[in-house]
Amino acid sequence: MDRKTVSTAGDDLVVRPIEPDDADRLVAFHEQLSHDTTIYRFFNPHPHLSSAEVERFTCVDHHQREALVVLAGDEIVAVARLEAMGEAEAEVAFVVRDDHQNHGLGHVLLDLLAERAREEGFHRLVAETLPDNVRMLSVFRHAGLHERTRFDGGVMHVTIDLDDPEDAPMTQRTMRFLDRDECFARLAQARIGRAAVTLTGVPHVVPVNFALVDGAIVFRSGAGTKFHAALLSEPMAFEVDHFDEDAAAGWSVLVSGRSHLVVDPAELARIDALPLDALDPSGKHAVVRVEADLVSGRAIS
Amino acid sequence: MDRPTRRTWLEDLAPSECADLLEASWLGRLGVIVDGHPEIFPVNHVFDRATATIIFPTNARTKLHSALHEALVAFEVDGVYADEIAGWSVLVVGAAVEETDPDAIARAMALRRAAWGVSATTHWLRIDPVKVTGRRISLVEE
Repeated sequence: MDRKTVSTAGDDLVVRPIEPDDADRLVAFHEQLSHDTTIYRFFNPHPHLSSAEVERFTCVDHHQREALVVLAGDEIVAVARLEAMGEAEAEVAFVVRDDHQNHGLGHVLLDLLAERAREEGFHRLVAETLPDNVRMLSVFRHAGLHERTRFDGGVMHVTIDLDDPEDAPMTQRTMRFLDRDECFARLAQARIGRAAVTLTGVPHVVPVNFALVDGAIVFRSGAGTKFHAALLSEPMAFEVDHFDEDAAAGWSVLVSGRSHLVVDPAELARIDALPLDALDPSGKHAVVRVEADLVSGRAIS
Repeated sequence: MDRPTRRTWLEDLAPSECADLLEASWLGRLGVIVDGHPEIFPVNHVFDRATATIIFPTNARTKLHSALHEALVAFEVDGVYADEIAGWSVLVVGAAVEETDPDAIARAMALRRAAWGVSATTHWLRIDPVKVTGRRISLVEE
């Protein structure tokens, strides 16, 4: 792979394969990672890299083992790795320095690793991640690739099928992922979204009039309806979009998270002041709050 | 509360109205259950009058594959506008299958919006409705 320039959150970053000469930069990168970020990468506190690790990480054959580094100036700000696990499968891992997280870099790196893995003839990517690493899971879940996850001993195994990539029409038009701030900016401007719940095993989707309150989705729902009961017993999905018909351009933001009834009087009083109308029938409206556990967005132009 | 209380007024739509609205819409939201969680994907669809089915192009395997594995999926179109908080919505619950009939695909190709950029490798997903419900939503001040 040649050097590539990527732009995230206003920074121009360079991505290139790792070189043995990157040893010092890699050590410096690792030292700057927060405790949490290190745990998400290594599953245990791992403040320093040993010299054997440095050599192993920087000396790769670019076929069975590949690593890409993302540079801001002369500093490494992210590393993505690919390692063969048999003929068809390669394991992926990546870590992004804390100050560059939530800029969409994970999506970019997964795309580049998937491209490199296809070039090397792999059919599947596998990854292990801790179940609470929601950023990473969000990257995998919304990569536009077929993804399966399973829990195993406290670790989440993710498998990504490389043989059926994201549709060509989408890539012919320019599709880009929205970072978390961009997703929230769009959620804050919208008033109508769609909520999806599972009702006796069947998905249902209904429009709701919502507001963004303290980073959560809030809307009124008729108490006593079947839909309302389902809202509170299941994880739910919430979607907001805006598409221009003629240009076939637009964006969508998807939120998945736990939902619960708002009962705190102070919070209810604040929400009562918002122009929120229930769109389902009932004389009595309860307020539902959906936590933005997973947020992802795409823009197509 | 400072603002006047508003009450939701719902009116069920007749099956023919639901079909008209599905036909007039070009964007719907597909609801599928993935790993026990509902997910929503916006999709460009057409409504095939000949078979009373919804059909849309997809190559994204997350959507297609997940939908085919579930017994039933949801498909929603609406015209609810923030200015008025009033409008309509139609919810279809049905089985999702891959459409392979060349005649049905030809009809869908003819109805689709040009900007979608459908190619020869596009898969078409069809929803055979089991239940279609539609409602007109209005808010009346009390």
